[in-house]
Amino acid sequence: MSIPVSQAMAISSYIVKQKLSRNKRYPLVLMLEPLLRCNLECAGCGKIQHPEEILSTYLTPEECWDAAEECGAPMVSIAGGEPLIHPHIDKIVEGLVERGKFVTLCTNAILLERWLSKLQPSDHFSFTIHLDGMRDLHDAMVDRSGVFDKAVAGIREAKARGFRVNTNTTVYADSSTEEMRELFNYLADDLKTDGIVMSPGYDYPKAPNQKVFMQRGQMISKFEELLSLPDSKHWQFIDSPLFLEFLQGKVAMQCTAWGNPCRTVMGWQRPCYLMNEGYAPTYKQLMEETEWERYGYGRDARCTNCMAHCGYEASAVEQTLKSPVQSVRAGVASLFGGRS
Amino acid sequence: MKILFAFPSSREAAAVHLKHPPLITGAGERAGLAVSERLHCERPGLVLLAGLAGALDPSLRPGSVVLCRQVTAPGRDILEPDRFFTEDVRHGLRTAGSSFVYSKLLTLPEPAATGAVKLQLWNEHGAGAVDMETYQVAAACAERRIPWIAVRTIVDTSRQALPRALRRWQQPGDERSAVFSAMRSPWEWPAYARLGLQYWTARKALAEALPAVVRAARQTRIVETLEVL
Ligand code: SF4
Ligand code: SF4
Repeated sequence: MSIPVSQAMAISSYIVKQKLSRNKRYPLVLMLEPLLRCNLECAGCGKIQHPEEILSTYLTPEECWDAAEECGAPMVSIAGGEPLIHPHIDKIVEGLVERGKFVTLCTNAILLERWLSKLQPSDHFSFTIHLDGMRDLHDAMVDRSGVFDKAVAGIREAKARGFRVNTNTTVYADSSTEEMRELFNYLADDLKTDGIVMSPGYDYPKAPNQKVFMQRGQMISKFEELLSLPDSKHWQFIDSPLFLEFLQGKVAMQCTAWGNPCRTVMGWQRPCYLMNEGYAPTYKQLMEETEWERYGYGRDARCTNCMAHCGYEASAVEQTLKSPVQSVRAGVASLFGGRS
Repeated sequence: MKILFAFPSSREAAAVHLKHPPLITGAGERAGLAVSERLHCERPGLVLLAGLAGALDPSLRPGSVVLCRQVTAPGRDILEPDRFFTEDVRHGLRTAGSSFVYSKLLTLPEPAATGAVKLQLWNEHGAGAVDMETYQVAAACAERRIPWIAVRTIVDTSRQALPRALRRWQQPGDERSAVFSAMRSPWEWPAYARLGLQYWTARKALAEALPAVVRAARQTRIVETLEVL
């Protein structure tokens, strides 16, 4: 199963409530960055280039819980930086789960084994482990050898302890179809992870290596090639079927960054997790004062090569709701995995 | 400072009441020529092109207002409207609470006829809307170094196929043959009816947006334009 039934039901009922209340913009996933410091320096990362005083600032557990309550999104994705560097990450997760949130903790897994005994498996909690390829490619992308092996060991141990474990793969210019095929088969058949999140890299202007990024046309061709492989039918994507079609250029979608508001150590980042046009002090101000129509494909040059989740998964949900056929496909895919 | 109002057709121009007759450009290359000729005789401070368009951006609905951020055409460079005027108008529209998107336009020699074609154009060009004049008008203005801005309102959505007779539409003069063709294909009447309703929605939106564009500019540098409205 790609996501637990309880999660699928809770999120569906949340969306229905939003629709019935005629909320034009509503949060789906809170992107929570309790810190921006990391123990790696990946080629395509645009999060870690802040000055030291910002890298040394951490959100307290209370600030994290307040952010979750203030925004009200049913899902929380804890990212960063590397969340497992945060000294109170276990408390943060626990408090969010207590508040009924479906939490996923995105990690490079270097410190994972250290934390496993302090976190509780739950149908409200999962790990999302960063894996950009098999050993050589992944270690090259994160610029350190041994990280792939560490992540794999962490995945095995977490699975053995009963945690739900998903992986997150960012597809870059150097990620060949064959390497992606090998990775996804390995995740599905050997590691038996619960789900795969796949997304193209966003061309962060500050990322250490600009050559890793693709243009939109290249992304579409790459995903078309990858997802037309027969093997792809048994890869359990967490990404919705419509989002996967969008990646292949088969459906048009416009960005709905308001669906994934981002709370960082500096405030609520405008307009999205990827692009930074300043910070709103409150979630309300973020939603009310951000000129949302100004962002998206065709509207801002910095959005030209963005096909990332934080912009388009909420769009996929919106579009899915408009079509009964898509709704059934999404339901089947989220409960049973694979691509229908 | 004087504004030259330009519309692709007299039907689009009829959406608003202007004191002085606007320039009717026609479509395609003709639009560029019409503007060039006019700019040869007079030198306005701004050319404001207004009209209807088809959506490529899936979030746009009939009546959505698109303020041009850039314009492109297949195999051509990108042209940009006057940044200062556009910023003033954008800011003013937002302050006034007018709903609009600020996006790229794509100019084609013929209408984008089907959902599949529109999807391919969207993926390739990232333009919010498609029309048949903006690029040529912009190029004519650029040649004479006259600032320009463009406002379009949406008729057909990104997934909507146009009835067959309209797919070959080139000029307002093609209307008659389109009507005859429509009469011979009754199975397409629902599509025409839908498009007709959307056309009125878009025209109404244009009628509302254009004075708002000028009002938005009232506090800025194009104060004098109020005299021509
Ligand atoms: S991509 Fe993630 S793991 Fe890599 S440097 Fe950035 S925050 Fe750290
Ligand atoms: S398309 Fe949306 S999510 Fe992507 S960079 Fe632009 S605003 Fe952010």
